[in-house]
Amino acid sequence: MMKVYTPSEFVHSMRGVLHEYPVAIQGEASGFNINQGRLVFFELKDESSRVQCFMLAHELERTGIELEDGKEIRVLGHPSLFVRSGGFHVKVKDIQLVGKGALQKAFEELKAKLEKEGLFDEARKRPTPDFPETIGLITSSDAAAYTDVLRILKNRYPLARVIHFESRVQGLEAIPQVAEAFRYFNEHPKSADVLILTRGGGSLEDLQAFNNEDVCRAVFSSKIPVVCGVGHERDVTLAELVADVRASTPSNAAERVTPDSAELLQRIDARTRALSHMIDGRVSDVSHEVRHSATQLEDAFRVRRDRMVHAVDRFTVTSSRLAEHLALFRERVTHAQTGLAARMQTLLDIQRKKFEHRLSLLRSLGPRQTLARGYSITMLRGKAVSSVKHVLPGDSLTTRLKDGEIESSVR
Amino acid sequence: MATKSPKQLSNLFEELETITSELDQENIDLDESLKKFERGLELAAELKSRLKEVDQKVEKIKKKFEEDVEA
Repeated sequence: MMKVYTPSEFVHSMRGVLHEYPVAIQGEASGFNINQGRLVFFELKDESSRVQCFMLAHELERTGIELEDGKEIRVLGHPSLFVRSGGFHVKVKDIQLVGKGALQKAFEELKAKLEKEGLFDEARKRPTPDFPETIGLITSSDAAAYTDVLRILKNRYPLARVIHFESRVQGLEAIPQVAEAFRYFNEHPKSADVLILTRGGGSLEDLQAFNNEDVCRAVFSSKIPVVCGVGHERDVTLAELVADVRASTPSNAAERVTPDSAELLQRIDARTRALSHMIDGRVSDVSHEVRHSATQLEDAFRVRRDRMVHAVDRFTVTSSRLAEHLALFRERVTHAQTGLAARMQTLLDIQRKKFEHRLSLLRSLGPRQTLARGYSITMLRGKAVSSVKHVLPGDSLTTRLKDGEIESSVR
Repeated sequence: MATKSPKQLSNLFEELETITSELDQENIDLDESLKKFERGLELAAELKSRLKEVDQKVEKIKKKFEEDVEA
């Protein structure tokens, strides 16, 4: 005997049964609308059929998907019937984007996550060395980026050694290889001064490795600074955001890690010229100082010399004046001398006259006149005898007469 | 490995820049200046000879990436 249901019994029973069948359906969204702000209705369709879908607004929000007609989506849920209308629908638990949409969503979610964790922080980014000794290159030798980078490195700074770690950079297969490359360089952190991770532009599928979480974390924890450049695309990959330096293209990456030798050589020449100029300046300054000092010395000497000359001149003048005085004096002396001599002569004459007068007086009074008259002087032992009492017999007497002397002795 | 490692290049450059700015100041005496000038020329010559090196050396590292083969 068949069970007879009431409609509500039937609906209730079928809901229970259908609830046991979780299902995933992928199709194109259509007829999307939200009722009363809470009830979300849309259909999933393909060329032949359409399936009604239903969920609550907050459940849709939770999926994080922006639902719109035409979007290819995958829906997870279970079949059900509306209680009131008995209408068949799929009660949606979760929605996933597929195809390009999925990659895009994954990209945005990972970007938000990594940013929150601080993997993009400017503060942690390290500077790259000005003069790298060795450059690590992570890319595929098939990539155009490879030849571009090597060419630019050779042009600008050939003296840097390049260690090329061969790695795919295309699609999913690249992920473990790029991660391996960073593992290698972390195990040999002294082997390179800077790393270049690079490839040319491409679609989201092509660039998957560069938006991959493992690769991004490998870039972040690299002990060696990383320069990442993915070419030509306007959109930036996550690896570029994590890297220490983001280059716009592979060529730009090569430029960012190296100095331009040609420019450096010019700078060195400029420095050399500046140095020469400065030295010339110093030398000319010093020679000016020397010249100045020499001039000062000359001046000082000239002043002294002039003073001396002046002193000598004054001396000469004075001494000639002195000579004049002397001459004058000598004249006066001579003059005085002559006067004196004349006076002396006069005096002498006077004295002579006096003397002659005295002399003649003396002569007249003197013994000679007496002697001439016949008198004589008798002397004993040189003295005149004036009395007979003064002589004794035997005494030698000298008698002076006017014309001589007679020696006699007393009897 | 050559005895001259390019890592010293940054030191050489720094030294050259230092000498240039030192000589720019007025107050060193002439003997000092001449000594520094000579050193500057030495540095410039050394830097130029290194920078004119044209041979690029590329070393390749290739790891074998085994494909996982399900038994």
